[in-house]
Order: sequence, then structure tokens, then C-alpha cells
Amino acid sequence: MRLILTIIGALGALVAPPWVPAVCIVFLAIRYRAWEAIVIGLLIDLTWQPAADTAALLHGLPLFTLACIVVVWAFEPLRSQFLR
Amino acid sequence: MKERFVFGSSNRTTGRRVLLFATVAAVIVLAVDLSTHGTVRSFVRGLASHVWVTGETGAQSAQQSGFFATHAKLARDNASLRAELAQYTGQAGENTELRDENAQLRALVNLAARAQGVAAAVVSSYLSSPYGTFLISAHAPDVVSGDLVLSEDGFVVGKIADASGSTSLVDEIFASDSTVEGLVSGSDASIEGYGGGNARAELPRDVHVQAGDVVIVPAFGQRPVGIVGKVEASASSASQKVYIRLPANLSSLRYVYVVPAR
Repeated sequence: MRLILTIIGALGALVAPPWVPAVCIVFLAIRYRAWEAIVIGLLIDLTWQPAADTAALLHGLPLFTLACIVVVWAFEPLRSQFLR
Repeated sequence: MKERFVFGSSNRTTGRRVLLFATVAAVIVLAVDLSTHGTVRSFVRGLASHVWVTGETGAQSAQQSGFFATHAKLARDNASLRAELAQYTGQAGENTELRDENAQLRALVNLAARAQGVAAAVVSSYLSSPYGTFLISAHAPDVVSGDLVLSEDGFVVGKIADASGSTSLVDEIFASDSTVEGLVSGSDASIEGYGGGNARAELPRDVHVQAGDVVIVPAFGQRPVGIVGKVEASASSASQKVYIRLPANLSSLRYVYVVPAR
């Protein structure tokens, strides 16, 4: 399941609407200690976001990567409680 | 029991370490990309365009094989009708624009003397980007950051944001949270983008605006950026809301034309 979610998320980052990889990231972050979620976020930002010096300040922030890092670490106490 | 607990705890620690490593690695990749002026980005975008082109070719092969014949026919009819509608709307917009020019005796734009540019294929889906961007096959030095990206009707659909590597990233002109200063029916307006080729502007109520009016941007060499789709005016308000849209369907754009900004 982890591999399938990762593949869907990575391909979805390139060819599907943004909610597809977002859903995969959230599922991965809830269920696993998924470093793949951070990679998917990074992939989205590197592909679609203009470089920081050519865009406004808000657009320069890698929002997906930051959100992935926050989500992955925010669910850590929950995973520690329930996962073995 | 104790052994299982120790094993679980060790697994958890390893998982956290991997997660921490991934977090640090992501930050390092972003820092390297920033310090090398987008080298990592251009590499990733090259891969992304390959994935898109391969997927599109595969999808076309699957359609031509007849496996999805019924869906394919419906999709073709739908795409054909949409393209026809976009073409007619674009032509109507151009006609309106030319009529306005003649009536007001102003040389807003000289279509015959358009600058030389570069044609490029769209190599990504517009819908995939959360930032209102898409990829085209043109690259430096043919195009540079800030160049204008035109649809086949001559409407500005975006600006080149990054032109490194084998592909260029285009920032949609009406991306969410973007603002551009334009002229709506001859009146200055701040046009706020809402994504998907849609935008909105507010004008004083006494300005005569109607659906079909062409919106132009002086900073883009008087080029059109959209047409007025709807006007909402209320007797209790001093202003009217003008909804603007691109006549071209962004998700069905296959080719674009890139011209210098000036």
C-alpha cells in the first residue's frame, strides 16, 4: 500500500490535479513514517514553482515541501501511539 | 514481550531518523537549487516533461487501439466543440478590439507589426500545477524570463517565469493571487486573477462595460489578455464587478507563441 500511494503521489504530482498528491501525502503521513511524502512535496515545488528570485515573496516559499514536513512531523505522536 | 517492545522501539527510532534525514535532505536540495539558480528545478522539469509526453503518447495509443472507443468519441466531440467555441469567442474578441480601435482613433495595438517570436509546445497539464504554472518546450536563449506567452488568438496567457534547462515554466497571467494593471473599456483597472484563465476587476459604475469587451494591458504592448464575460452592477454600490476570462481554454492549449515583452 505504501508503494502504491507513493507511485500515485509521485505521478500525480506531475500529471494530476494537486489534490491527488495531497491526499496521498496525508495518507502516507498518517499511516507511515513516510519520508516519501517529503520527496513528493519537494517534487511538486521543484516542478511547478517559479524560482524564488522571479516571483513574489509568498510564491517563493516552497509551500508544498513545508506543508509536507509539517504534516509528517505533526502526525508523529499519533503514529507513536498506535503503530508498532 | 520485552524483546518485542525493544524491537518496536528500535524500529520507531530508525523511522524517526530516516524522517529526520529526509527533512534535512529536502532543505539541502532546496538550498542547492537556490544557490545554483535553479539547476535542480530544470533537471526535475525535464523529467516531468518526459513523463508527460510519454503518458500522452501512451494515452493516444490506447485511444487509437479502439479499447476506449465510446469514451474516445465523446471526448473528441467534446474537445472539438470546445475548441470551436474558443475559436469563435477569440475571433469575436479580436473583432471587437479592432472596432474599438477604429472608433476611438487610437493605435492600441498593431497586429500586423507583431514582434517576431518562438512557437512552443505545451508539455504539461495546466491543471496539475498548484501554483498556476505550466511547462512549454521552449528554452533559453530562444526565450528569457519575462517574455510573453500568447495563445493562437493573440491573447496573453502567461509570462515566462524560468527559462533554464530544456523546458520553460510559464506563470499564468490570471493565476490565483496575481494582479495586473489593465484597461477595461478604456478605463484603468486592477485585474485580480483567480486561476484557470479567470479574473475579476472593479470599475466605477459610470464606466460603460459590457460582455465581450476586450481587456488590454499597456505594459504588454497593448496586447489583449482577456474578454469581459459578465458585469455585475448594483444600484446601492458605486462600483461594478467585471468578470474577465481568457477566450482560450488553458487545459486544451497545445501550442503557444512566445514574444519579447517589449
